[in-house]
Amino acid sequence: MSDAPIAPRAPLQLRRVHKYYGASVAALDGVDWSVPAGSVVGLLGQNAAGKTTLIKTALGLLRPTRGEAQIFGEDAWDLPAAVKARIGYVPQVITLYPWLRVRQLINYTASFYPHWNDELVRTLALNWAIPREEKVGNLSVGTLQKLAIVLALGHEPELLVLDEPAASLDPGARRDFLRTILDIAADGRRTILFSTHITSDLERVADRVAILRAGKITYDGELDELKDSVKRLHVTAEAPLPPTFSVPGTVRLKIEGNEALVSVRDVSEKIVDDIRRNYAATVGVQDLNLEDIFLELHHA
Amino acid sequence: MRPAVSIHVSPNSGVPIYRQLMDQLRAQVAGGRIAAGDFLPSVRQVAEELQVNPMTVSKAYSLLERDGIVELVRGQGMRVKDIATNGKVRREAILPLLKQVAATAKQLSLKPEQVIAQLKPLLEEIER
Amino acid sequence: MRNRIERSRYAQIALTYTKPLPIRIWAASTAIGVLWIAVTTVLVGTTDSGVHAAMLFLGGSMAVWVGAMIAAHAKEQLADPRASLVPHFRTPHLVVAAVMFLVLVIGLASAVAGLQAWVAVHDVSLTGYLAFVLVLTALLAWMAQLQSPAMLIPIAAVLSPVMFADGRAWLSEILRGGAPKTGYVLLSASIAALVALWWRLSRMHEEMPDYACGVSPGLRLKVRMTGDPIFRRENAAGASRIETFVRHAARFDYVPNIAAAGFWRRARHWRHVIGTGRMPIFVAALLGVWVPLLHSTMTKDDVGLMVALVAASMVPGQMFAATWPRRWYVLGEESLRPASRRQFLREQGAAMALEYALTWAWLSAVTFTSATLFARWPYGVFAQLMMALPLMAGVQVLIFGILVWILRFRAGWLIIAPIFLVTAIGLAALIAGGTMAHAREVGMIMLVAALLTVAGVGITLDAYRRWLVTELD
Repeated sequence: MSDAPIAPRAPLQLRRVHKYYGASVAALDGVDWSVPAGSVVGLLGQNAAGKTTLIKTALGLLRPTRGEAQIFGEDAWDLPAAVKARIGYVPQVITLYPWLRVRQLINYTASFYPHWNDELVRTLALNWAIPREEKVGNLSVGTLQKLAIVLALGHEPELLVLDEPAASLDPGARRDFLRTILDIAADGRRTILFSTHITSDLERVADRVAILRAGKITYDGELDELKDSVKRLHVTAEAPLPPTFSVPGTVRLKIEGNEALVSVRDVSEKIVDDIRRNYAATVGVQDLNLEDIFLELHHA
Repeated sequence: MRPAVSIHVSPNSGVPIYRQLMDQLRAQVAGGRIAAGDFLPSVRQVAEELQVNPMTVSKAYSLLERDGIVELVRGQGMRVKDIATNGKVRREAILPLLKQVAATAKQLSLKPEQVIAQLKPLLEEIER
Repeated sequence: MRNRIERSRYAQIALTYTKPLPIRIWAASTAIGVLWIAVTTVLVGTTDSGVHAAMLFLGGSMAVWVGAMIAAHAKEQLADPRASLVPHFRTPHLVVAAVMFLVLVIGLASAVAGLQAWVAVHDVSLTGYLAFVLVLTALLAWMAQLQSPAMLIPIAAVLSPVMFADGRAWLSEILRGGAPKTGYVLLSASIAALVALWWRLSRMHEEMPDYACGVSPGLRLKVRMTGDPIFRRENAAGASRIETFVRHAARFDYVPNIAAAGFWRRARHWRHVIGTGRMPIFVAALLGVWVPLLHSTMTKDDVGLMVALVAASMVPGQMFAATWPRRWYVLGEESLRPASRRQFLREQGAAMALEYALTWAWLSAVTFTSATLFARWPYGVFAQLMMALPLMAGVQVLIFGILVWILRFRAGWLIIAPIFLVTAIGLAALIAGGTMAHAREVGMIMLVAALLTVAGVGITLDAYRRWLVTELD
């Protein structure tokens, strides 16, 4: 269910990408996906759904077995230096040089980029209480994660990719992180992609959601549209519902005598009216938040 | 004049944020808390205050414009349109709730007269 | 019923010693080694005592190494929250470790010594031999446990008799069984040390400073989760003051921007993090100092020559074989810095080559100078070293190529293999170079050096080609 037109120089694009480990394990099984410029996209998926593999393949760290991955129109495996200067990456596994102090690591990272915003880095480090004189090896996990994010922002990339960025952050730090993401997204010129399984974070900042399941993108579109179209219907009929009770676009169905709970993918007035007419029932439409939607879509 | 708009959205509800914004703004306009001719706060201001994506806010604003509640004034922002249309807006605002009342009444097998009989004193009470 | 559970528990623990692939490889090589010792001993028979001494040495080394590995494995299992929280955890683990130790280490050492005695060339006293093996094992095991530079002191103390002629005579007395009381004392001391280690392992808890020291950090190169406890321990260890000093972290106080810099400037920049900082200087100094020390205690002339040749042939390769695999931790992220893939790989390769060449140059220069200065006939030694130099240089190119070629693979156990490979190649070069230099076969040396260089360059180029298609993360 992909509605995004494939733009020629989209910040990130995957075309018919397959990634096999060994002969049989397909981490990515035919992924067609692109991230439009200026959007904040959340990549959602269960653990081991392949989110990290997808991100790494999209960035050229892994090589697709079949298909193409492109960043700003260039082949991801062979990105030229100029394109790499426009991307920032925060990996899920943060490995830095433990024997360097924070300020030394910042210096070292900055030395590679033609453009580096010292002021921004300094402000962020201050706001996030990252001790500049402390050795990286002695930092706590949460601080390490914040530091990794700061290092990825220093060169003000046009495409920022984060893999489970908030996993180790406490709620206060997560809120700060989301605020920073919003600040970055505010001018609309930057594209942000982050993978997570924390749906509440996505709901706050993302305008697009992509759901990865069993190596395929099963939804790629606007978050609002997803919330508007996936609903749970509470059907109460006057007579017991027949086993042939069906609704188009059903994701999950549970019938109990006179009542039924139906999760529907593309709800519309017509569907609701049809149920009312055909089964002489009242229909309550329940809104589902992203977590509910995710669970409904994955229950099978 | 840009009034401080007291809006509250919950990003984790099943209702998309833009819709929540629209509903609340509509209600505020209809209820007179935002007068005709007033300017809505800027997209950035609202986004910062509510900690949501500015694109969501601007989506809500443009949909409100489409519905005729506000109009875009170049260089100044979104201005609330005059009262003439607001009556319709007010009636539309209460419609979802009324639909719920009707549905619940059907479930409880109440007759329309019974519902109205219960509703009337409540409405009169508020008027006082 | 309870017996069955207990037996299976012991069996499970024993399996942890045999299941992991690296350990199986170790076991296989040890078995081959033992077989080779046995065959060689029997074949050589009563003739050459030099070979027998070498066999004793080899057998003893293997026993020591196995003992240290068992202790390290036991530590890894016991320095874990499970040891305190899971009932009946510690005792079975310690029992199995002790049994393994007895069977493998003492068994191996006794077998080797027994074989020697049976063939009856050397008078090898079992007590003396075991004492040697166990003292060294205890030292290594405690070293693995504490991972502290302070352990160098007892190690130096124990190794010091080797430096002096009287010391060496005393040691061989013990080995032959001529000083049984000393033998027993050493044996008892080492057993006490090992028992103390076992006791400490049984008490291991988080507050102990050695709880956090990763034992075999390099053996797992697969990318890990942030927050992984072993990785966090490594990180904490990596932030020690010694590490910071050796790595010369102060260089990073000001780092010039290389975004627009030329190739060699960038390659030199990468040396900041690819290299081992000041380590080569220390190693060179150590070896350089060791030469006069050895000279003062040994009558043989060419001991300085030996040290210099060892330094010039295998030490740089060993250093880098041990440290370069750790680059894998950061390679993925570093590859996303602004540089194309080709550029990145070339710069890394150039940086590694620079680092290698400079380290080798340092080590060779210091040890050659030291060997020449302290030799009784400096001119002779200097001449030999100069003649052997091209061969040493050539073999470095070969070793570099092989290391870079193997580095593509991220299997953990492949860390150990290159070190031994480098040692073997270096040893071959040392023997060949030393012999040819002694025989003044300059032409031969140049030819072999040229061949080695060509081979090394060829392997490096092939490695580069393969690296271009290697996933960096």
